[in-house]
Amino acid sequence: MADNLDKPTLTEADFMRLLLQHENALRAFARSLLPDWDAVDDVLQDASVIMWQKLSQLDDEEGFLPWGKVIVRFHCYRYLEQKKRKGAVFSNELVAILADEAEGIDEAEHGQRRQALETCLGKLSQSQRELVFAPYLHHGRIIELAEHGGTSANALYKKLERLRDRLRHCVKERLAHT
Amino acid sequence: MTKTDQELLDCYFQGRASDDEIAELEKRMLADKDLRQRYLHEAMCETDLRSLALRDKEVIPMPQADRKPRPAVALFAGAAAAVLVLATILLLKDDRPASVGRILFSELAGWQSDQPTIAGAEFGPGTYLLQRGVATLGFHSGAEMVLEGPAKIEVVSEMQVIFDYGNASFHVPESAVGFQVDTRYGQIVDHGTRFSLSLNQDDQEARLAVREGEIAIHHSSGEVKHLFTDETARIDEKQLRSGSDPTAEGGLDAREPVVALGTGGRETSIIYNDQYRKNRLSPDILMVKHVDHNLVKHHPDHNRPAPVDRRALLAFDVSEIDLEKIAEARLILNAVPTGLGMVTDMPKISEFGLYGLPDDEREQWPSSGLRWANAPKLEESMRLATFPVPRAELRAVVILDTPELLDFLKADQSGEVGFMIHCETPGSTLVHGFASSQHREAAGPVLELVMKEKN
Repeated sequence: MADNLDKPTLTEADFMRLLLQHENALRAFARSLLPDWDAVDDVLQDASVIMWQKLSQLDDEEGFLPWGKVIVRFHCYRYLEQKKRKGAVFSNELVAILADEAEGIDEAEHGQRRQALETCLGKLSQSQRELVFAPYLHHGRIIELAEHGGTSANALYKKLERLRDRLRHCVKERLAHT
Repeated sequence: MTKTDQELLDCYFQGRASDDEIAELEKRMLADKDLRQRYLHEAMCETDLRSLALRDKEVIPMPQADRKPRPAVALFAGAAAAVLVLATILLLKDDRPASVGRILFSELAGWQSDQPTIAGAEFGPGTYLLQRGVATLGFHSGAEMVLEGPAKIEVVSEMQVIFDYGNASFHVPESAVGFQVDTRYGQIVDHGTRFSLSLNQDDQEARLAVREGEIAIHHSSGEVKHLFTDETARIDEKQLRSGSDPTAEGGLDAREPVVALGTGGRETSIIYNDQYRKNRLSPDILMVKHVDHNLVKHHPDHNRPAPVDRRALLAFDVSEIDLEKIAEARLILNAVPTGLGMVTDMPKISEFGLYGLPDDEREQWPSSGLRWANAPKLEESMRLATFPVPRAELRAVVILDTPELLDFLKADQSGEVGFMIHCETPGSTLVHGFASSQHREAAGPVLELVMKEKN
């Protein structure tokens, strides 16, 4: 009883702040278990409602991210069970291993990676950045860019692979010197 | 052909993986913890790229048509995303470093400064002394300055430089109109242009040539003059004289524009016996070695490389270059000692070959994890140039500018040109090296292209 009395009550504003603070980490966690972005968006919608409903279970703000990951993990499992009937996804065994290992990722490391990525993106020209971002905006964006630039989509995909390779290399370099 | 781990990861995250490829990726990940780690890093990178892409376009992800509508949640998610955008903008503003630009290229540049001066380093306000070489500075305003040493400048902001002495070319795009260069004789305000400035340490005048656009010169006497395309001027303590014949300006000949490309990390070394990889290759040096077969014990097959033979691969992104306009091309390499092997048991001079990789899928080699067996083949590549490196001079600048190199570049269709460096002279233990883009002292490979002026 005494514990309950001492437990700080988290308000709606606290919840919003915590969700914003950890949204990227939760999204990356879900992406590591799910096959596409539609699935991630669906699962995060469901999981954030449950988080809000069960906020009283949370002991303190420090526990938000691990607690949120547990809820997201559960919803990922449920999604994958349904998805398995439609097509190939990773096995329960691999998803469980990935979830355990992804839960152990330090949020500070993710922050460093993001910062390095932003710096490396800054080294690209505007048109190169546009190409790197294209797959995340909407389906068919690459084909649009190809038509606009008078080239083939295949050539742009090859260029995209090279740019991603450059970014990967650049991020690795920056992290090595951090 | 079997896909590499990275290719499978790319296919998976881009939603292009077949059921068989997903099964193959799963099999490899169950057996390989390092691959799982890479997979998790890719998931983080994907998340960040998507969030940055959406932020860039200020797009809030829309619910899919076939999803069950949840008005309250959608509102909540939208609000969260909007707050996130705002929070991120504020965070970026607060965290912005004092940087005013970045060193884009460094060609044998020797600096004297208390700030980082390697290619890729951010630079802030301060005084910079370029003792030798050429450096390209990119200001955050969009202005670019190619500086030739010896030169001394003081960077004031992303829009202002105090130019003490040196030779420089400026390119000021629309975003940086108003970029200001102060000299001891007056101030130059750029109105969107390309211009050159030459002011040597002991000179009594500064010389200016406008290649394109317009600049305004504010002489210290108060006189103001505008210079336009192909016009030149000399400024000294007393006066400002303009002309219209840039070729008559000595060191300020109207030079053709030069584009200098770095590898951007597209470089690696391969070793024949891949089990040596981890401890016998270094990311900052492109290593090349060709062992004389007569010296290799238990190695009767003369058609096969020796276990420790090495070759270097490098590539440049030319997708944004108008290849038809290349008038001259130079590949600049910096030979550096590797510290591996004995110099004394080598021939006095080793001959090297620069080879052009075929312009097809064979040039799509990964920058890391490449094995000799999967690497582009020497016999399928085209020799473009040869050059000597004396054993007594392992630190040297190599400049290759053959017609074959120019033709090879102009024929490119893929947007990337790839090269291999091979040692033609069989030797013994010595490993030759060329600085990669990560080398701490010497500049990495640079492909310098002289472009034809507009007609």
